[in-house]
Amino acid sequence: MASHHVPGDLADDAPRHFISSPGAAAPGGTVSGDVPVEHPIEFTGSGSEYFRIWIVNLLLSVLTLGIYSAWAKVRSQRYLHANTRLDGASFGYHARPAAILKGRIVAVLLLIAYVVLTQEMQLTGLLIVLVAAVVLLPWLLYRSLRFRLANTSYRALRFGFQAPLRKSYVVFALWPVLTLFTLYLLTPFTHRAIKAFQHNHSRYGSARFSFDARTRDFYLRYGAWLAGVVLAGGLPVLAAWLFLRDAGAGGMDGAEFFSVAWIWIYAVLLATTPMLAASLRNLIWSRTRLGPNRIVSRVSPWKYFYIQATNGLLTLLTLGLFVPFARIRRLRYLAACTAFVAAGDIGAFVAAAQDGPVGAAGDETADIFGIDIAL
Amino acid sequence: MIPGGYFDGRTARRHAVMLAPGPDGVAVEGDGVARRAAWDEVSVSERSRHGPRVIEFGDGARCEIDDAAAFDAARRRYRPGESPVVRLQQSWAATAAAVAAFVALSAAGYFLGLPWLADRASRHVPPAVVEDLSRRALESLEHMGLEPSTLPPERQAALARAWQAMQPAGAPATRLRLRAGGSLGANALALPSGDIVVTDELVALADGEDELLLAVFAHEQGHVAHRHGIRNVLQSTVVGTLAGWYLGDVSSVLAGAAAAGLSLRYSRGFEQEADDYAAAFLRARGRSPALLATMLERLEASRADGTKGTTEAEGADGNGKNGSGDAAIDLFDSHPATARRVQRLREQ
Repeated sequence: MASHHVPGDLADDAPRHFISSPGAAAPGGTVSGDVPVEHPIEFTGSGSEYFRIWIVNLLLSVLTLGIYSAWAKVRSQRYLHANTRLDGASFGYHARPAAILKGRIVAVLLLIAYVVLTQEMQLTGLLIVLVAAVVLLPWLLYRSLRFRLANTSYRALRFGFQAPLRKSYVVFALWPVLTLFTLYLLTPFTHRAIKAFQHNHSRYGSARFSFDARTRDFYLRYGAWLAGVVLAGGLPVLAAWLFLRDAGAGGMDGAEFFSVAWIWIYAVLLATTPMLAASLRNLIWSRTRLGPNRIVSRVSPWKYFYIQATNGLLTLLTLGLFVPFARIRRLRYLAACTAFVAAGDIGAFVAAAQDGPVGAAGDETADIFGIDIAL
Repeated sequence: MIPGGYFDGRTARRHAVMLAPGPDGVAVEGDGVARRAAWDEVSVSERSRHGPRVIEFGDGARCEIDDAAAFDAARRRYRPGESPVVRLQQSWAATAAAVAAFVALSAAGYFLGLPWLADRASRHVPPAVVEDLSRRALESLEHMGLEPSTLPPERQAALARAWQAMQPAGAPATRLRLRAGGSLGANALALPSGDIVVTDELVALADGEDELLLAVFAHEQGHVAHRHGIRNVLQSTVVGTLAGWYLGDVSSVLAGAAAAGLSLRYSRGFEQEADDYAAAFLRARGRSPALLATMLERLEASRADGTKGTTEAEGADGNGKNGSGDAAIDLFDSHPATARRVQRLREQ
């Protein structure tokens, strides 16, 4: 395990006040004589053991028509959290199955309402759904963030999320709608805004996280990815077009070639998404701090792409039975690329004042509509 | 005595402690910590081979034991019995049985359960919904380029009359709607409301042999009689949702492809049912099922030589298919092997 630097001139049990008053920005810098120590994140989960948990979860969920799925989620998350270790301690997951079940029931009701509205009332229904999305989604995502963080702990200190609700509307309604109207040109800007909202209002114990990536960084990474897609996608298309034209090949008219070309470019776009995700993950985590403590993320876009691609292939070949192994494999790699650089003693963090239990409705609804703000 | 790390929930400091599990509970001692708690007052994490054993106290404190096996053994002495789910999860035999059960249940659900449910449910869909679904399917088809028919009105009326004349009592009501096919080419589509859309190109393929067209109408009527449109919507929606839930984490493309493939298989079954209906219908009126086979062969030939036409009523995008797209079932839906269909029809 990574070693612990303890300066000899300070007593072991005197808390070092790097992260002291709740809500206040942490003082910059470290106590003189302290060298920042990099603690790698360790993932000890086993694919075969997780498979067993997963398949039993799946079977019981099917037999109980989905009701057991809340307990399944808790079991699964507790296993994954307990097997994620940092400096000799593991993470904890504290959500209660009942809360998750309630959340899932709300989510199913919303889904039924959505289906009924769009099928039965068509245009009016669609308008209602859009308005409801703009009104409800930011609230649901806000609650999802609170629920997820409040139910995660490390060394018995809970994480937390505290932000004014109106900011959630700016970040999850205003910017996304504008992004839509600018034909997605605002995507990197909105992505940064979302991450800034998330990280600037998250805390561990009484210590606040902070986020200082610039919009420019996001545009650069998205731009590099698009350039890659144009090269990897467009160049072969161009070459094929020139070849076919010169070789005088018949049997493939312009429209057909066009649609094949678009399919190829779309495939390249999809295939390279893991690489963009890896690049953004590195950016996001390396620009997130917890007071004077930093986080390091060294995900290799190529390796991550390889892992995701082989995961997908194996999942296909095994008709889905590889899913739990795929998950463990992915988490193990991401953990191996991540480290927490502690400026001082990790034991010095202090708990925050208690806030009440947060309901799960946000978390589960966010899942069912495919909204995932992980990574 | 088992070593562990104690966290008091007030700071992140790790206290090196020793745990002594006993008949009444567990005692924790060391590094400024001395507490005992009854087994009922703490929550111990479930047995697993990997990861620490975690004891959570009521006041938020936490104890992590790296040698989980040792603690589990000690605890089993004083607190035998554990959740049956955990026993299932930790046993390879049980897990293998679970895999077999899951595969069996999924297969049973896919081949028997869902089709049966969809069939029963399709009988109870309100007529207003059926009309609405069909109208929107027709609208989206028209967006794809269906223009008013170029056939002379008398020809259209004659066809409709000939078709109605063949109808036995009690057959589901059907209405012929002739259209210029546009990008759809030669095709016929049945909508749940009973509308049968027929393209001018298909009529042209029959080359004056109206008996061939009547065979096609019989096949389409089969789709209406068996409520295939509604059943297809129900079945593909359920399959799509479940595929998304099962595979969505790994890849949404995979989920979409799986959903499309599974729905395809259902569609093949519907085609077969409609072929059988047409064969029975034709024989009952003293005609040969081979009429439909001949028409299918002509359609296949016309597509092979590059005549424009699509074989799906809606764009073949497994992810984006909506209800209206699935409700319209065409003659050539989902590429079932035409040769096999032709052979089956000729054998009847």
